[in-house]
Amino acid sequence: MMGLLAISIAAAGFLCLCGSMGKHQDDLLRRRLSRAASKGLRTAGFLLLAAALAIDLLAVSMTQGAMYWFGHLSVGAIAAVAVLELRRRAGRIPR
Amino acid sequence: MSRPLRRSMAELHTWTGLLLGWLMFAMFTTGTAAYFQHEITRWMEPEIVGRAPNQTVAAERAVSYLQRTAPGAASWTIALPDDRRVRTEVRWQPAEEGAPRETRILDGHGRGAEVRDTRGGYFLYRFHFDLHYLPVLWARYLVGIAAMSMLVALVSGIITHKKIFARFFTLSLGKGLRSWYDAHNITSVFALPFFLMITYTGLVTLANQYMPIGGLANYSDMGAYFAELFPRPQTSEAAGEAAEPAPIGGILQRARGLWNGAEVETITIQHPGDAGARVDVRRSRASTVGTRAPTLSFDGVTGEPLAAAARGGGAYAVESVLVGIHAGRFASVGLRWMYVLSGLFGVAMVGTGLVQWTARRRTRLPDPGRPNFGFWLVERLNIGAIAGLGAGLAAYFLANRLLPQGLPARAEWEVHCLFIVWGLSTLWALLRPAARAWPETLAAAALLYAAVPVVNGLSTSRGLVSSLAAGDWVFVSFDLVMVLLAAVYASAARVAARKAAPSPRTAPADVAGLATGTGG
Repeated sequence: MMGLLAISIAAAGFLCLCGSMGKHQDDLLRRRLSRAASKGLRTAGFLLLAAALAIDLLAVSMTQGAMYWFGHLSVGAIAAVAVLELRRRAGRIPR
Repeated sequence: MSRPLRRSMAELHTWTGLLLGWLMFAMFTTGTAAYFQHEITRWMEPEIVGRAPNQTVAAERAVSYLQRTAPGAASWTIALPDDRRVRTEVRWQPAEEGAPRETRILDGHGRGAEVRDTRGGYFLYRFHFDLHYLPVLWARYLVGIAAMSMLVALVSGIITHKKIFARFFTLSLGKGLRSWYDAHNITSVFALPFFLMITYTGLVTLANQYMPIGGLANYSDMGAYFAELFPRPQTSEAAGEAAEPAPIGGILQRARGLWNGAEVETITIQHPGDAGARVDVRRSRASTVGTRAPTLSFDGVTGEPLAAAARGGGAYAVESVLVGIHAGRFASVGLRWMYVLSGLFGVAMVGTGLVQWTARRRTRLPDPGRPNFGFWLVERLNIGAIAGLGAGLAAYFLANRLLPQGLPARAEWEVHCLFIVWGLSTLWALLRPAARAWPETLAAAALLYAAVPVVNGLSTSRGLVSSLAAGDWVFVSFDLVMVLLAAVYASAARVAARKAAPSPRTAPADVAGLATGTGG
């Protein structure tokens, strides 16, 4: 359960990181965010990835949490890309 | 970062990736499968049914089997079942000089099981660093060179494609070259920490062979070095008079107490039934991340612990943990699946990289119908490695079910079947036009995988339906994974067949942009 939470938080973090990139803002929002907003998203993204690490260390395993974290990051990244791809398929994002 | 550096890194990435790419593909594939080696072995030994309620009962049953079968042996060894293994393996060394060691496999009830001769998942584990049909020493040097190339390809890839993280969220499918580029990029970044870890720690597992200088500088030869690093349990002298042995259950309980409850992997009993009996108990390698499990020794009659030699220092512990992270024996089911997922991404990374090499060059060929020899060879070897190995592995599982029980060297023939099918696929790829060979070999692999659960259901009593009914999740998962692989290969075959029909559709502008932006 805690693993799923860590994966979801990591996926949210990756989506924030994606949203902080100018090129992807064109696709996702069809406009560029301000520098400050982009920077905020970027910080939020990294904080969420760090939060996933905290969950893995505190709630999954203190000794093996780091290894779980890398696994959860991979699965979270796949989830984030899958979300973007599904939106793209649905026509919300131009190809 | 200067442009020439990135360009040279791009070339380094291209050629280190290509030259041993086929070997890396095979190592990644079989190594990934090896994370489930015990589960694969269970599927390949369908005769073993039932499971002992716990290790103590399994050990007691094994001891009573050995007391009946090999009472006067010089030593007994018992490899115990655990969470993942159901077999108990007993070995004994007869007391007569020069008599060969005997091995039996016991089922969950402690009875000798008539198990088909197979190397099971263990072969896939060994193949990923020992290869086959080659002297082991050579194979390991070859594997080491491939792993080192992989490390170089990973680092140079990161330097070359500094945009990998920016492009990471873009996956454009069905767009020719750009799709291969994206697929290679995305699979590489998904599990990049894993790839760096697995390649580096893989080199660490065989570091003593690749860099023996540290050992040779301090010891007369590497044998003396290893003898001190991994001391064998002391041999005890037989007293020559019989004595009532200490109950094995009590010894296991004391060992677990000293190890904070960790399970046991193997028990060795020297001079069983003798007054000089000695029991060595090795801790399970699944109980901690570090893989070098300690051994405790007990007096075989009183059951009291014997003084243990201190082992290892800091470097020993670091090596143990690095190898442990590579092998993942400690991993729970959830983490194990993440290991496998990361490994599959490694397979996909190497596979898409290899195909990208040809996709990128095809458009530059003067006449794509008549490519130069290098291009021709790479394209064919890609088919042989990617589709052929898949077909070969399916054939390995099919051979396990189809080869007759009494066949001499049966286990070795299962392995031969893997390489025969792999070799035939490669031969097929060499003889056919590449555009046809891709869908044909992929479809053959899909058919072979689809046949595995069918043949399993027909040839054993442990088909998918009865496994589902029995709640035997290892067998259910194995069959479902075969179905999944069949589906993956079938859809790959369909895509390849569609690609084969029209001429390459890549827009020239796209290719030009990629070529200047990302190098080789």
